[in-house]
Amino acid sequence: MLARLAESLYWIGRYVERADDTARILDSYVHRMVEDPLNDEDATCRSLFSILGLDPGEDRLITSSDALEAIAYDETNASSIAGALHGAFQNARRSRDVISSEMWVALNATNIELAHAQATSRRLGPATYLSYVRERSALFGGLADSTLSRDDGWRFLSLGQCVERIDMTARLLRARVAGAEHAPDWLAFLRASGAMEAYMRSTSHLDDANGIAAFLLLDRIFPRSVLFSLYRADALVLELQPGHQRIAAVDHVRQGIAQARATLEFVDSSNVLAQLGELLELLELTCIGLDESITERFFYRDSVVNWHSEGAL
Amino acid sequence: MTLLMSVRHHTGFTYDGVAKSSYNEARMTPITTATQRVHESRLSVSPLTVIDTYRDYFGTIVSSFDLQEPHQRLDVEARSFVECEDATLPNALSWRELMSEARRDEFAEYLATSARTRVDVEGFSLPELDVAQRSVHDVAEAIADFVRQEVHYVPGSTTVSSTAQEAWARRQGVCQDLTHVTLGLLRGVGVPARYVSGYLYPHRAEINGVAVEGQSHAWIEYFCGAWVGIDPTNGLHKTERHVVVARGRDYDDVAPLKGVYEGPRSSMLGVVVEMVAHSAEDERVRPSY
Repeated sequence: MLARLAESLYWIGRYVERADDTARILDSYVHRMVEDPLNDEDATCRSLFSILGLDPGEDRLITSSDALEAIAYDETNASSIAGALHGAFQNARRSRDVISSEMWVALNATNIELAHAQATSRRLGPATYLSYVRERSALFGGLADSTLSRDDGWRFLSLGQCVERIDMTARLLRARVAGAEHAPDWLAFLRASGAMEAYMRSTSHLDDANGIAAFLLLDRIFPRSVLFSLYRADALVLELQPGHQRIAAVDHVRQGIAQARATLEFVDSSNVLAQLGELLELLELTCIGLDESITERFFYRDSVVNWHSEGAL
Repeated sequence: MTLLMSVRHHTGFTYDGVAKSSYNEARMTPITTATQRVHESRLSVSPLTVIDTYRDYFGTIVSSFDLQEPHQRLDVEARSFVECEDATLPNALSWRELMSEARRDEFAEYLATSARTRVDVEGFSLPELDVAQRSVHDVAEAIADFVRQEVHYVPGSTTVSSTAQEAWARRQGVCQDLTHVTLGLLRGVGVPARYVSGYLYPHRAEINGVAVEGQSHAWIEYFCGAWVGIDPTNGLHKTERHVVVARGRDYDDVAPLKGVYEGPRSSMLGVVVEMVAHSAEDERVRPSY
C-alpha cells in the first residue's frame, strides 16, 4: 500500500483514539471540579494541561472554561478533541479510496456536527459534548471493525490506535505522579478508561491504588491496558513486515515495543506505585520512539525526490 | 588475422554520502559479429543485485539493474574473452545505389545529424573532395584522414559531454570527438555512419599473454553495402585489435554506464581497462573468473 495512504490511516487511528481518550480524561477532571467545591481550580487545570502536554501559560489563573476551550474546542490544536477529530477528517479525506464510505461518513458528519455540539455544550455544560465525542469515536471504531478488510490498511489504522492508547493511558496515570493532590482519584481513572467493571470483576480490593495502576498498565486481557496494547501493536507490526526479518535486531519498531513490554513484564505487580514515575517516563519515550520508527520504517519518503543523472566511461 | 583477447573493464561511482536508490544501464558486453566472436562474458555489480539483460534498438547488449539499498559506492566490472579478426573491404555500392530512396529510409537515423555530431567545417567542401568520382571507401578514408590531420588527439582537452562542433573549434579532442566530427562529415556527404564504442588493444604492445593497460575506444562504421569500421583516431580501418561493444547514432547511445540515482553528488571512479592478448596456441588459457 502507498506510504501516503498508510500514514493517513495510521493518523486516523491515532486521532480518533486521541479524541476519545482526551474526552475521557477531561470528563474525569470535570467531575472532580464539580464534586469538590474546595478544589483549587487553577492547580487542577494546570495538572490537566501538563498531562496532555499543553502549555497553559504562566501569568494568569486558569479557569475550567479556559481548559475546555483549549482541550475540547480548539480546532487549531491537534492535541485537543476538536483538533484531533479535524485531523482524522483531513486524513480520511486523503484516503477515501482505502476506507469504507461508512467510515468516511462517520468522520465527515462528526466534523460537520462538531460546531453544533460545541454550541450546545457551551450552554449546557461539557458533558453532552464529551459524550457525543465518545459516541462518535465508538461509532467509527465499530464501523472500521465491521466494514474494513483485514488488510494492511486496517493494520495501520489499528497500529495508530494502539500507539495512541498506550500514550494516553500513560498520560492519564501521570496525573497521579505529578500534582497528585489536584488530580481525580484512582476510581475516576478507572471510570475514565471504561475499566470500572472489568477491574471490579478481576479483584476484591476495590479501592486499591496499586491494584488499579497495575490493572491499567499490566492487565493481559483488558483492551485499554498498556501491556495489552503493546502486544497488539507487536502483532500488527509483525504482520506488516513484507518478509519476516530473521535478525531481530534490525527491526527498530519491534525493538521499541519489546523493550517496553519486557520492562512491564518484569515489574513487581504488588508494588507498581513505587516505580510508577519511572515506568511512565519509559512509556512516554517508547511512544515517541515508536512513532518515529514507524514513520521511518513505513512512511518514509523524501519531500521531493531529486533524481540525478550519472554517467561513467 | 585473428586475435584472442581477454578484457577487464572496471568502472563505477562513489557518492558524497549515501545514495538511496539508483537505476542504471551498462553497455559493457562485447557483441558477436561477423568478425568478432565472444567466447565468454560476465558483468558483475557491487552491491550485489539482479541484472536484467536485453538488446537495444542498435543491437547492443544492455545490462540494466537497480539498487534500492542505500549505498556509498557502485562498482561495475565487465570481463570478457573475445576473438577478433580483421576484415577485408567489401565492394562498395555505387553512389546512386547508396542514395536511393529505400537506403535513405532504411538508414535514416544514421544519416540525420544530432546535437553531438553536427559540425560546420570551413575549408572542407564537397566539390573539393569530388565525391561523385570516388568510391565510398575513398571518401570515408579521406574524411577520416582529414579529421585526423585537423583535430589533434589531446587527452583531457574535451569532456565526455563535448560536441563535434566544440572539438572542431578547438581543433583538439579525444577519440570520442574525432569520431563525432567524422560522423558529422560523413553523414553530410550522404554516407550512413554510426558510432562504435569498444576497446583497443594497444598497437605497440606484444601479444604475449601479459596484461596491459588497454583503453576504451571509439571509432565509426560507415555503410557502403556492408558496414565497414574505420578508426579516425588512428587512421586505419578496424583491425583485430578493435573489440566492438556498442553501436549507436552518437556517444549518447553507447555510454558504458549511465543512470539516475537519488542521493548526494556522485563522482566517477577511475576507469580501468585491462587487456590480455593471447597467441593462437594460447586459446586454452582462459581468464580466471
